[in-house]
Amino acid sequence: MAQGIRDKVAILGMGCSKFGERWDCGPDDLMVEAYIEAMADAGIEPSQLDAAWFSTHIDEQGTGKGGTPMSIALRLPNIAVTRVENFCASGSEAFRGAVYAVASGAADIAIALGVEKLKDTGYGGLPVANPGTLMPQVMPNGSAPGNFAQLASAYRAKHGVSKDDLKRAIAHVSVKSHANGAKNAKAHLRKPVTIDQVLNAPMIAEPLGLFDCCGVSDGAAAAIVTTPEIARAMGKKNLTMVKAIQLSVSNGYESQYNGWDGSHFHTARIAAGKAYREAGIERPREQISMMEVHDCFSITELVTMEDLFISPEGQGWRDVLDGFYDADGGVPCQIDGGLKCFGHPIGASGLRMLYEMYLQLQGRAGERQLKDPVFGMTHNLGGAPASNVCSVAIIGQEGA
Amino acid sequence: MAPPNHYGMIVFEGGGRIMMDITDVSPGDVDTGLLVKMVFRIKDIDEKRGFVRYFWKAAPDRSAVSAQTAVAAE
Repeated sequence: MAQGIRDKVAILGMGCSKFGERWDCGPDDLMVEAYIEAMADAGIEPSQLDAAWFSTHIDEQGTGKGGTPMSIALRLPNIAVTRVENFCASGSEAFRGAVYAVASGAADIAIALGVEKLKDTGYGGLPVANPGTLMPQVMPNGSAPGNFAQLASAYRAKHGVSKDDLKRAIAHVSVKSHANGAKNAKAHLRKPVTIDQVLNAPMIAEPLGLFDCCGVSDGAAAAIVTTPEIARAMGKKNLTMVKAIQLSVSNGYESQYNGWDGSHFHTARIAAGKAYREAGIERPREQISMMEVHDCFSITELVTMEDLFISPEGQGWRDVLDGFYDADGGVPCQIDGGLKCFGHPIGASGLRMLYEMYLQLQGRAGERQLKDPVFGMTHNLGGAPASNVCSVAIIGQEGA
Repeated sequence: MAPPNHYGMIVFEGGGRIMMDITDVSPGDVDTGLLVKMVFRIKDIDEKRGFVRYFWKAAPDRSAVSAQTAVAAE
């Protein structure tokens, strides 16, 4: 394996807009909101930025598939802006680009910014993607909830879990995220819910009810990265370091061959294994202090606990019900509310996950602050269980 | 197509799989391990151009015996 990214890049500053129904803001306003916070946190001037990565997936934000929407919104000093998209993992891709630029020495300071403005589409979920001319002739008329719901039936069949037990476990996932999101002033959904509310909500795609599905949001998030040497020279202490960034992409194994059992994410296991090696983590269940994972659906989060090797295979649902991933549990997960409650502006989500891990590592998470976190992990998935891209990043304390 | 809609990962005897529509079922009929057969059915009606698209769908194979060689989303 290559030498890897561990400890080569530090996070200099981060910013995140309020997520939600931002009727009064366009994507430019959201970008400015995240950018101003990140720049103030970093303590730099725009002239110090060498390069930018811009992630947005669904909407073209005014001026098309390029770097211009970010450069124009932020009046960047005519620097390189690379627009990236990789489904819902786009934000993590922007971060990866900026981190690699700094690690290579091509840039001293780089910024990654993601934005999405989805609440004006007039549609509650993801806008319908254009599948191309030929695919509708063979593809089922499916949906994201329908695709991810299949994880639940496959998981039950593989591990012999009853429908009621699994329904209760995934309900706990959402109850926990709502409890956490209620403490986050930037979160889209800020009301706690009871397990009975979740269990009795309208069905979307069996067994996923309304509260098992995250919505979509308006929002933006940004990260500014540099080398640890430059950060120290600027007087920064208590640096938050990049420990690992890995991306694994489906190649048809899950969707076209018969080896995959449908109950887990093949790519997540590969990305997680590589990320732990890159970060030098050998016992993730003990060493990972906290996580933000891609809880697009409650069942996704549940199986991801196993795919990240935190829960033993087939036991994730028990850990969830035991409260292991609650705010006061062994590995708090979605401490900021997750996609479920902080919200899911597609191109910003990966950076939003990193934002919470960064705040926690900096000791600036306010009411949500966990005690002495060392490593924070993000898991940012794009696509569907049978065909996806999976990004896993680990950030942590200097010297850890 | 009016909900509820049924679809899943169909696994073929001898190898290969495809996510496809499941037809001739009612809510509650479909679960992992359901034995199915291929039927050629209306997939879509193109109202703008007036033609009907057909494609294969999976329907429960009620004549199948115990040998589980083809299962839905195993």
